[in-house]
Amino acid sequence: MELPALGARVDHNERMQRTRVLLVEDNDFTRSTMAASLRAEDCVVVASVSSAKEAVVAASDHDVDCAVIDLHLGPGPTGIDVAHGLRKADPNIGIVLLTSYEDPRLLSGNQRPLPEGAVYAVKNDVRSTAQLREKIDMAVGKADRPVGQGLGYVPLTDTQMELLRMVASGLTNAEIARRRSVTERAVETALARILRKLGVEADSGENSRVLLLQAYYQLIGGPGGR
Amino acid sequence: MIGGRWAVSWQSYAFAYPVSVGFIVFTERAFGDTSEWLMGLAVSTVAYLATGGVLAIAGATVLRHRRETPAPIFVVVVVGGIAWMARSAVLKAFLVARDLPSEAALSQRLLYGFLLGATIVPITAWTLASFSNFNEERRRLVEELVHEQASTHSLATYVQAVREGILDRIQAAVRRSGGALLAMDDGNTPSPSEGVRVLDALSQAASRELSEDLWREARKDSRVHVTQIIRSAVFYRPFSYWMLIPIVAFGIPVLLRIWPTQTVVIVMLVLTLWALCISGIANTLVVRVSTRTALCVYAIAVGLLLMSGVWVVVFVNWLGSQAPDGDRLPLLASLGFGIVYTTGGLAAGTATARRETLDSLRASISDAEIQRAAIATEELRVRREIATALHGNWSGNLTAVSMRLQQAIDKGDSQAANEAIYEAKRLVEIDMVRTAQRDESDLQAITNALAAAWDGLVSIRVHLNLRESLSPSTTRAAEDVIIEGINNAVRHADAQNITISVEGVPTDIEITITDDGHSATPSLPGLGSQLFDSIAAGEWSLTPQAGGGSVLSVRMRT
Repeated sequence: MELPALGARVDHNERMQRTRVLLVEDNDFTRSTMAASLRAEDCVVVASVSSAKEAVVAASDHDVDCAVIDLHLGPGPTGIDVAHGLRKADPNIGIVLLTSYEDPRLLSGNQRPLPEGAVYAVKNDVRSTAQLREKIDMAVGKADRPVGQGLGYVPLTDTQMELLRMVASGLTNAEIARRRSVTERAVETALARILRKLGVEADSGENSRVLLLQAYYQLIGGPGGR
Repeated sequence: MIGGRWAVSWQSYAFAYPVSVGFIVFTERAFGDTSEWLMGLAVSTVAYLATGGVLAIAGATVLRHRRETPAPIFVVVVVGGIAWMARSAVLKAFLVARDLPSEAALSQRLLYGFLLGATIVPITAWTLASFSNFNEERRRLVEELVHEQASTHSLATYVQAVREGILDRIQAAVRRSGGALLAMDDGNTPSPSEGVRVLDALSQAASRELSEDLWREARKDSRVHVTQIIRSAVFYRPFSYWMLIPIVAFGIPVLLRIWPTQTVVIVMLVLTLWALCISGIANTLVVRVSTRTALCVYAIAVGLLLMSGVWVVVFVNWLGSQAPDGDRLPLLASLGFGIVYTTGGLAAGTATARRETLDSLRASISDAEIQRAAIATEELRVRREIATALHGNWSGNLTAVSMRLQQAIDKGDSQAANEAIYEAKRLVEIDMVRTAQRDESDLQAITNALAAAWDGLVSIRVHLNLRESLSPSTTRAAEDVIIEGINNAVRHADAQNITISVEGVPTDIEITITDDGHSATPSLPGLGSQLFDSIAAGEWSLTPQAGGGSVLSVRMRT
C-alpha cells in the first residue's frame, strides 16, 4: 500500500477544491499508473490499495470524497462488495467502479445492486484520464450524469447471464442442463437466443459455442473479436 | 414433430436437388435424348428454384419458429407438397411454351408433384435431423467420457506441461511483437508520439495473435469429423429394412411410366430381395467382426447395392421388356435406389431414440479419441485461463502505460515520457505472463486465500480436517460451494462473522458454513440452490440458528 501523497499539510481551501480519491486496484502496475494519472488530473490520491481490508482501513484513516474501485479484485469480494462496505462506514462517499466488464453480472451472479449514485465506468469507454476525472466528478456530484449513463448493463436477463458465465467457465451443455434441471435442447435454444440478443450471427461452418465465448470475452474487454 | 430447423433449410434443399433433376431428366420424354440432357438440367434447375421460393416463403411464415421448436409433420408435408407442385407447374409451362412432348396433363403433374414433395421434403428433413441429433449425441457422449478422463490425476501432469508450453509461446509472441520497442536505443530515445504509436501497435498485435491462436484451436477441437459419425453409425446397424417401403411405394408409379406392370412388379421384387439379402448379411456381420473389417463389409455392401441395376437389366432383358432407351434408365434408376437405401439406412441407424443405439455409440468411441479430446479440453481451459489473466495483467498494464505516455505528451513532460517508454520496454521483457500457479488440489490454501480476500468486510474462520488430498475436480467443486456460501451470507444476510468447516469422511466431504447474518427465514437464491443440487445431489441444507444466523451444510462425494 502506498503512503498518501498529501497528508495534514493540505490546507482547508485546497481540500475543498481538489477531489480526494481512494484507489482500490489489485494489480500493482495499474494501480501505480492510475494514481500518477489522477494526480496529474488535480486529484489528491489519499491512498491506493489492493484489498478490501486496506480499503476499509484507508477510508477510516482519511477523508475520502470518492473511491475508484476495480470490479474484479480476484477471488473473494468484488468491487461492489467493497463499495457497500465503504458506504456502510461513510454514506456520503462517492463510488466509481472502473472495470473492463460491460456489465457486473458478467463477473458473477448473486451480486448486490450498485450502491446508490455509484458510477459504473467501462474501461473501453474511458479514453483518457480526463474522462476518468469526469466520472469521478459525476460520482461526487460535481458534474451532471446523463440519464442512464454509468449503470453498466448488457441486454441479457439474469438467467441468460448465468448461462453465459457457465459456458465461459467451460461447462458443457449437458452439465449446464444437469445443473439447471432442464433438457439439453432447452439449453441449446437458450444459448441461440443469447447469441441473437448479442447480435452475433453463426454461419453454418462456425461453432456457436466458440462465438458465444468470443462475445463473452468482448464484453469483459478481452481479446477474441471476429 | 420433425426436423426442427431442418424442416426448411438450404441443406435439405440442396440434398433433394439431384432427386429433382434426376426425375425430370430421366423421366421426361422431352429430354430423352442424351443431347437434350443439358437443357433438361437447366430446365429442372429453374423449376427447382420455384420449389426453393415456396420453401423460403414457408420458412419465413408458418415455419419461422422451426429453430426453437420442431415443426409438426403435417405442416412439413403440406409445405413440401406445395413446393414441388410449383416445380411441376414451371416445368409444364416450359414444355408447353417450347411445344415439347408432354403427355401428362397439368392436373396430373400437380398431383404427382404434390406427392413427390410431400414425401421428399419430410424424409430429407428427417434424415438431416437424424444426422444432426446423432452428431450432437455423439459429442455429448465424448464430452461425458472426457469429463471422466479429466478428473484423473494422470492428466494433471500433462496439463501442467501444457500450461508451461503455452506460456512460453505467448511470451515469444509478445517479444516478437515488441521487437520495435526493444530495439530502441537508450541513447537515442524516439519521440513520445512514436512511442505511443509503437505501444498501440504492440497491444493490437499481441491481442490479435492471442485471440486468433486461441480461437483457432478451439474451433478445430470442437468439430466432430464426419468419418467418426459414419463409423459410429455403421457399427450398430448400417441398413434399415424399413427404408424399402417408401422406396418401393415411390418407385412403382415412376417405373409404370416406363415399363408394363408385370415388368415393374418383377423389377421391384428383384431389387427388394437383392437389397434385403445384401443388407441383412451386412447388418449381421458388422457387429461380429473388427472395426476395420466392419468398414470393409459396409463398403462392399454399398457397392453391391449401387450395382443392383445389373440384376435389373438381366431380368428386364430376360422378360423381353427392354426400356425404350435401352439399359441406361434401369441402371440409373437402380443407382438411385442404392443411394437412397444406403443414405436412409445411415439416417435410420443414427436415430438415437433407441437405447441400444446409444450404448453401441458409446462403445464405438475409442479410448484414444477420448484421451485426445480430454487433452484438447484441458488445453482449451488452460488457454482460456491464461488469456483471461493476460488480459487482466499484461494488456491492462500496457493500456495504462499508453495513457501515461499520452498524458506526458499533452503536458510536454519529456522525463515522464521517457519513464513511460522505459516501463513499456520492461513490460515486454519481464515475464509478466506468468500467472500465479496455484495447486488445484490444496483446498486449505484456497480457502485461506478466500478468507484473506474478504478480511475487512467480514471475518472468516477456516477449519479443515481432510485425511487425504482431494482431486482437482473435487477441490473445484468444494471451492464453488464455499464461494457461494460466503457470497450468500455476506450479500443477502449481511453477515459479519462466518465459520467454514470441511470434514473428510471415507468417500465424502462435508462442508459447513455458519454465519451470524440476519435472515429470519434463510433461503438461497435460485442459482445457489441449483449449484448445491448439482454438486451435492440433494444432500444439502440451510438451517436457521436459534440465536440468529444460519448453517449451510453440504455433503459431496470425493
